[in-house]
Amino acid sequence: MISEQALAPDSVRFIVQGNQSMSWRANCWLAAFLGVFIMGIALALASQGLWLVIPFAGAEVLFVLYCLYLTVKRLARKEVITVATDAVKLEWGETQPDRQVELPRHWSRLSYHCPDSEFEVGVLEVSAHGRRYSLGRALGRAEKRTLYNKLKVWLP
Amino acid sequence: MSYSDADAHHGDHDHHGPAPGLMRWVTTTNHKDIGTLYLWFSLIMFFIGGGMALIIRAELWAPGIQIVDPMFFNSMTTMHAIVMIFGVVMPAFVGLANWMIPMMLGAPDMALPRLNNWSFWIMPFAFTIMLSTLFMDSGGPAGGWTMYPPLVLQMGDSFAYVIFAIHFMGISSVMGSINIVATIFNMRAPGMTLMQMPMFVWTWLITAFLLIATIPVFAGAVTMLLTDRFFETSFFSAAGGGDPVMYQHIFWFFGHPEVYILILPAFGIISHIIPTFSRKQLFGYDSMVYATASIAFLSFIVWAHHMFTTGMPLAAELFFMFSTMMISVPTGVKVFNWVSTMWRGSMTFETPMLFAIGFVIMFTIGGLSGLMLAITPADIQYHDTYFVVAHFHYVLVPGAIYSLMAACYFWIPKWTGNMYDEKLGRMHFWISTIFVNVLFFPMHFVGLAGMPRRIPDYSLQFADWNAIATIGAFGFGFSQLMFVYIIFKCIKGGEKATGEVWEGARGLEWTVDSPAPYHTFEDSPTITPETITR
Repeated sequence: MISEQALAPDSVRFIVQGNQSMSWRANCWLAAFLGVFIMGIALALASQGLWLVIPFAGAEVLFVLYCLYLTVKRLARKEVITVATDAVKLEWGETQPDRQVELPRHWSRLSYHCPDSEFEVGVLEVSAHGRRYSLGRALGRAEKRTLYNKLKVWLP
Repeated sequence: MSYSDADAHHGDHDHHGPAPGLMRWVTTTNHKDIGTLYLWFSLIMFFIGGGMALIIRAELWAPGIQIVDPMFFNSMTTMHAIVMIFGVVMPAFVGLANWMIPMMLGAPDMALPRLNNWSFWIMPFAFTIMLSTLFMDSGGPAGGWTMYPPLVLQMGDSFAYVIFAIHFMGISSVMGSINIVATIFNMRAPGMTLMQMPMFVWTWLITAFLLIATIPVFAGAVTMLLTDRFFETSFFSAAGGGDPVMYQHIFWFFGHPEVYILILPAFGIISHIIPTFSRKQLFGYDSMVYATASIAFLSFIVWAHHMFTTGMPLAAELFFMFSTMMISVPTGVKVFNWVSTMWRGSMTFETPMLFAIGFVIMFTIGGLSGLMLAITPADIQYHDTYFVVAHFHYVLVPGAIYSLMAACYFWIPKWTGNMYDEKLGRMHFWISTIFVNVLFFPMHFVGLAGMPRRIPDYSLQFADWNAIATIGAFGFGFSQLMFVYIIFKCIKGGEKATGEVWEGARGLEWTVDSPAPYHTFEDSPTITPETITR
């Protein structure tokens, strides 16, 4: 998904993110429900002497937690592209940016290349002074092209 | 196409294309590729498990021991069940889930694509190990797929391989289920609420919960068998203070939800096909969702109906009898809703619809014999007879397998871009339906007359019906070669399918081209009344 915010007449911000249909909080509730349910069964059986179910149930609960965490973390990852008067600022992160890059706007070049193959989603990059950064990694082919067209208005 | 404003030489990390040649299938993380792998795997296993069934039926053609020795016969009954349950029906449903759930939800792929790849590739290894035990000195497992101690503990050293293979199958199932849960909750298209999800997605979500809840129990149970066999523990050994009946409790605590794991996705498939070919919306969508959830809940509190003859307090017998009978209520709601969907619909009878109607009728027959088995005093008479074999085969063959056939015919134009041969498809249905009844219906008669299951020899009085059942088995088995031919013919070519494929089809999967592009829903789809199935 691409959202666009106009900041000033000559600057704009694009926020690129995968579609996430359930919140962190709801995922926590889901994980808690599964954990309680699975461990509840395991403990009930352990009380009858069948304690060997516990390690399997415990491992599974940990695996469920890890998988849900990974899914939510990936879907929550944002890419913020700010085109300001003199600079192009790229930020990646979830709630706070964990990586930031600033490129001089007038030296920045945009490129989009998509081979004619159904297997490819294309490569959208911004480059300046020999440094290249991939944009729209959460996007598919059509959305990546949309982002390219939107950015092209602001970058040469 | 190229929109380059500057050369992009270093962007190969962003390519999503598959590896060339065979490596495409080994390393793929695409949900459609993995779905295809699952479906081919399950088709191959279907013929392996079917071959075992034909060995069983050939031996039972006449009374007396004639083709295989009793030990090998028991290995065949055990392996046939394990292959058909864990190697055919479950992987086939996972394959369909992989193909269809992201497309039905408007998601670009599964939530955890690498995990998805792993969960498939574990399966061939697991089944290679499992089937290799047949060639080991101590032979394959022969104590029944339920692996009751103390009988199963008499098995030779290949038992360790069996348990190892079962663990792998469980790991694969758990990985697949977690992926499905994560995908359904987190990757629905914007605007798609839970109560707007297609029924196949709902039934799979509930199935995934059942798998996640029960697989650790099964893993623990078989590990305790392993330690009893090789490490001198006594979990299930009465001599050491353990309890063999406890194994039956723990096994069926997994085993009965497993039965619903094998049938709930089938309910979802039928809930798509019947509305499509009736050109009506599904009758009672909400009640279908609640009925599915009710069946799943009840599946956890009915396990001991498999154990009425082990001796149980009267109160427990009554509890498990009534709780089992209660399952017929939500199941009845489903059958009522399917029939009501057809009522006054503009019905046409293409092959998927024929298989779906066959499912409803014959699954109901299997359900009714299940209701008979739920009644404790009757079950004590029917227990371990061919009546039980007839019951669960009616539920699993014209039930689960028919739903898989229906699903393949229904969605194969979307997968390949070609229509299958309708005439051959209908012929496949009618031949299968005649032979499946010739195969399984006589089992009711010999079962009620007292013929025990899992025995290679039998009393003369059962000879005629067994011969008829064997004819049905070979007819049904060989008619499935038609299915393979139809599939290959469809992959190779045929009339081109449109995106919608079927006139009455609704849902996001029908809004994309046929064949579905390698990457679907690159733009988040818009949810409209036409694109939701309820």
